[in-house]
Amino acid sequence: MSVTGAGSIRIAAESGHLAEVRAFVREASERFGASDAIAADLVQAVDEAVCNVILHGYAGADGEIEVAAELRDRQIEITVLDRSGPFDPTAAAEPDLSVPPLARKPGGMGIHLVRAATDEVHHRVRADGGNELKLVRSLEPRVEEG
Amino acid sequence: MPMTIEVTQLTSARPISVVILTGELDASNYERLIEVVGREWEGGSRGLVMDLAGLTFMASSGLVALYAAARIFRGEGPPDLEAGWQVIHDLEEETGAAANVRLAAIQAPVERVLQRTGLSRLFPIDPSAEVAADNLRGE
Repeated sequence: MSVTGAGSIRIAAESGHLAEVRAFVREASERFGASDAIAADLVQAVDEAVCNVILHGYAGADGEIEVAAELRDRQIEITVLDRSGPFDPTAAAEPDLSVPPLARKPGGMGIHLVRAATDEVHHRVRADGGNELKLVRSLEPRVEEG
Repeated sequence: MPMTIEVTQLTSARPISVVILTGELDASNYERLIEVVGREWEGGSRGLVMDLAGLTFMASSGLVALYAAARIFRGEGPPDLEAGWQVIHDLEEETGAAANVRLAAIQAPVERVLQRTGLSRLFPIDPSAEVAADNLRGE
């Protein structure tokens, strides 16, 4: 297995730092050879995941979030680490997209976008507390992207 | 990348505001957009064009801002942001719910977000701000 790292970024858990995370993910994705569409999807997914940690994990409390990027064979793996309480965003119910938007129950859009933009999402509670969320996206284009 | 918001007013029988967004719309700045939209409504605008040609990223919080704009330009006032996606639920489903708000010149990443959340069904989308303004005027 071939593994290439692109380092990591550590931010305070504040929405004003989301742009730094997006820039990090964009740069790492481009360095790994991702297409514009795949890089944009990863930027979207990581922004939503980190925003979830800020809003629902730390919920206004001070804290730090670390985001790391790796290429494993032909898959980009982005890991989001925090030390908020156990919080599994993948447990959220999927919004029912067959229902017109205005009639839909609120919530779940962030994690829905994470799932739509990635191939795999894995959550685990870290042994020393906090959460690890791993987002995986293949470098291969999806059918709809040609 | 920070987001800039520019606003121009078009004088016509129906006052229209064009809001030009440049940069990235996310959880740190979506409330600012809602404030700007609210001011335009209070200033007498009855049609809104969101020129998104320079918008390279939109988070789900940006979608909440779009919903809020639709609600404000239906004369229903700004939503309770603490309720988050509840603002969506508060809007009654009806054809043309966002007819007073048109999106223009959407870039691919933003279009994907609208499609993936089903919101592209709600907002009329035009190729340019000029076409959107003409459509709001009924031309």
